[in-house]
Amino acid sequence: MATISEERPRTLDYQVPDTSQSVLMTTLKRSWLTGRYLILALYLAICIYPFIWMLATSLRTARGAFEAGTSLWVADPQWSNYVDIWNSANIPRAAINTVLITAVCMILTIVTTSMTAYAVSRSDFPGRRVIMLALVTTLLIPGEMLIIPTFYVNRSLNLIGDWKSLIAVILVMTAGAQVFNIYLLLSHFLTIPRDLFDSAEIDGESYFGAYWRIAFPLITPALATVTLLTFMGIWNAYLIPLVYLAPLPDFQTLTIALIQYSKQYQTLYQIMAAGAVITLIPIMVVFIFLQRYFIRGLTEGATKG
Amino acid sequence: MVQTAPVSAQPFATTAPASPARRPGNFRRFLPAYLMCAPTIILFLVFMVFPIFFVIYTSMLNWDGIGSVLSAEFTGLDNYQRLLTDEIWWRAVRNTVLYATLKVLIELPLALLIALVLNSGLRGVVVFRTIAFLPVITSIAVVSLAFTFFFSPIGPTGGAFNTVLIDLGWLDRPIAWLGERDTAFWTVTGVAIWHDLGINMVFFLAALQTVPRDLYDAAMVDGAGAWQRFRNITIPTIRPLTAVILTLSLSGSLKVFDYFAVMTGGGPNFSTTTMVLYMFRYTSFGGGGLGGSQTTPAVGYGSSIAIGLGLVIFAFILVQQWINRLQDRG
Repeated sequence: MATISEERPRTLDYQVPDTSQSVLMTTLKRSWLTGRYLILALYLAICIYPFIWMLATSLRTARGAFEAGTSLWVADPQWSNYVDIWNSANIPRAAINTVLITAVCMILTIVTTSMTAYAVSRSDFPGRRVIMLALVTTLLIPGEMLIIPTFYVNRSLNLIGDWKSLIAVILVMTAGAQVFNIYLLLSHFLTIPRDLFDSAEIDGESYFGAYWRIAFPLITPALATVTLLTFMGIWNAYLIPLVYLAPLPDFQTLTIALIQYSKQYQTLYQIMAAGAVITLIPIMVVFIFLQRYFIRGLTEGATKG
Repeated sequence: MVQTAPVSAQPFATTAPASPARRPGNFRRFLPAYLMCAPTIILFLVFMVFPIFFVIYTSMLNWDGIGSVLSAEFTGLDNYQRLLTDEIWWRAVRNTVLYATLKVLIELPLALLIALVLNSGLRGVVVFRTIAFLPVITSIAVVSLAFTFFFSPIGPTGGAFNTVLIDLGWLDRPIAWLGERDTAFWTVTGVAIWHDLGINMVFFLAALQTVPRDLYDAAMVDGAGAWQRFRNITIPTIRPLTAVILTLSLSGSLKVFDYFAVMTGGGPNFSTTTMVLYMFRYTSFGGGGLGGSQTTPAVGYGSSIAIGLGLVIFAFILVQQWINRLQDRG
């Protein structure tokens, strides 16, 4: 319902004079007019300053990192900090793991949630209500509560240790993404008239074929939302990768590798800052290009789901 | 960020009539539908339904989590008894609830204020919104790491934060904001508000754009001032969405982990331990380095903490929904 329009939003038109003007109201209104720019400028500065400060820190010498204070200026950029973190925290390996986990989770999430949402929205099979009831109930159960038992489920399934732990992480995170995304997709699938599927079936399209060739293309925008939200969730994930991957140096994600490194070398700020920049850059670039989809997706997730 | 669980069951309300009576052959007829739901159902059973029962069971065991669960000693409700009298657990609950309260009381009004500013007909809204949203999309763990330098006391004037305060003359020498008992909790909460403000701002912005323009026009013709318009038009219109925003913020905040785990690890002296962080103290997860883990993990006790934190979150959401319903009626 509430997607944010890209154009200039509807104006609240504070310029129109009120008929019921008191001195107080006039003063309030005038201070609001100038005040709003101040609020905004201050807020944006607070948002962006820590990032730039971190970027500056990542280019400082060890001494410079301690002496910089609030300064954003770097006299002699130390690009070697990036080489250092790249070599010492197993970053290349962690980058591959992160991309792998993110990609597989994204594909699995899209395939599983869209298939379920399609079947549930199209057919009145026995047990359908049970599935939906179960999904609603799960919303009330915080995932954090299930971290201990799911770990032991994975252990029983022999999914702990080296690359097997990667599979465990993927399965747990895909399972965790189900309910939310099924909700999101369902509201889109329900807008497709059932007649469309029925006539496709008369034309000889199979049940799965109707999903793949008719429903899937029709909900591409919603799938894009699911993809972006999953990407963001998995790329930034900390808790679940920490549980499964922290003890495995070769199978960590970027975030875990960086945090583990920071525990070991607590005062090498400039090197850690370089690592933070490496980790944050990909998602920031994706965000800046696709910001309207990100924001639409998140808004829709909260308001529509 | 995918923790933002939707709250209303709206899509399900609009579905077709009740399922047809069970007839032989139905299963065959619906086989494709079952097959397509199968992956979700399997994931759901293995990683959601079974673990719920499993954690209830292990919460009644004296189990180190290393040996087989079958050979663990069954201790009934002993773990819960211990939990109820565990001072540090209650400190964790208090910290978490205080954190969630601060987040709701500070972050949501600020988010609404900034959304109002952005919605009041400024130019360049998209650019502002993009910048304001930047913290939201970044990894909490990585950002938290960066803030440990930002609040650092090391160096002549410390990190950026200490330097600002020293320059303003409010401090004589740098303070270890994340290392002192009196400041660590507030500092972490501040970082969390910084990180999450943008998402709530965007939610409020979306809510504000559902307010019909005509209503404002009509109110202005009737001579309503800006405050009156806000009070009598904006607030009632965005109220349903505000309830959703509140629920999301509350349930998300009560599960807080990343900020505290990275910036303070729950210390000093448990002053920043949250419910989830405390749960990890009794496991060997994360290499056993979390929340000052016990040398011998007590996964049975950890499981009872898991149930405890689930109940606390559940209670808060119920109360919030109940208040919400009362307001709807009144």
